[in-house]
Amino acid sequence: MRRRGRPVLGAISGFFFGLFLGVTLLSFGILPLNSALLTLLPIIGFVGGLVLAFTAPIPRRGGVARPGL
Amino acid sequence: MKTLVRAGVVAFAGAASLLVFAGPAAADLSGPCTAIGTFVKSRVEVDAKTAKGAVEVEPEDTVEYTGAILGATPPRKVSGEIKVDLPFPLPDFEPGTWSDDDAAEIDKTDTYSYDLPTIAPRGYEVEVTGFHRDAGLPTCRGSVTLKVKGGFFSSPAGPAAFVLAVLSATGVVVAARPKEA
Repeated sequence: MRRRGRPVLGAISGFFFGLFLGVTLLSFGILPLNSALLTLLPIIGFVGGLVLAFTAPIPRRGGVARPGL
Repeated sequence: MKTLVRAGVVAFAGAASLLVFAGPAAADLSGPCTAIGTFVKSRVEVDAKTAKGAVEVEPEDTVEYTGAILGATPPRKVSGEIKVDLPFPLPDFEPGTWSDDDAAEIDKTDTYSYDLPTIAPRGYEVEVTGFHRDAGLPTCRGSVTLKVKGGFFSSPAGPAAFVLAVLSATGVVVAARPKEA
């Protein structure tokens, strides 16, 4: 698979997005403290961020995405 | 601004999709045991045999508890524990464990105090589980679901986590754009 976005940024941001999303949902009382999702969310975020970075589905501002660049 | 809006949409979609995983609270106690706790500050009594749903308790309280086993013939070997399941990789919190090869007691009355740190989130459900093994008797197993009083704004953890989640989502959006040539 050809690298198109920023995989390192995507993986790190995705991990922390999952982590903080879990704490936010915990604070809203949506997830209980023993929920497996609190563990899974950072992992899902890590993988999801990586996949989004590799596929780069969001076009650049002010221009059209150029595949392969 | 568009990036922030996209990050917000990602955060909202993530949160909304997880609502389906919120499970119902429950309490139960099996075996020839009784376990009753009174949360002094919260002014609530919890009987592990009959408690229904989540019991709301204060973030700081003292619990006056009584546990008893029916049909025990001392002296005998006993063991047990009370624990709070925490998400991996955090270790489970064990406020009480006991073990005795020559136990004479058939009940126990004591107090337990706890105080959640100010930074800790509020408003979530905590499942407290436990068991007691008594030689020659069925093992008692029980659980009670507690809900820490408070909500999203009751501690800095909630708002801070929300802001950091939006910032992280922004990072994901930026990472998901093609690099410049």
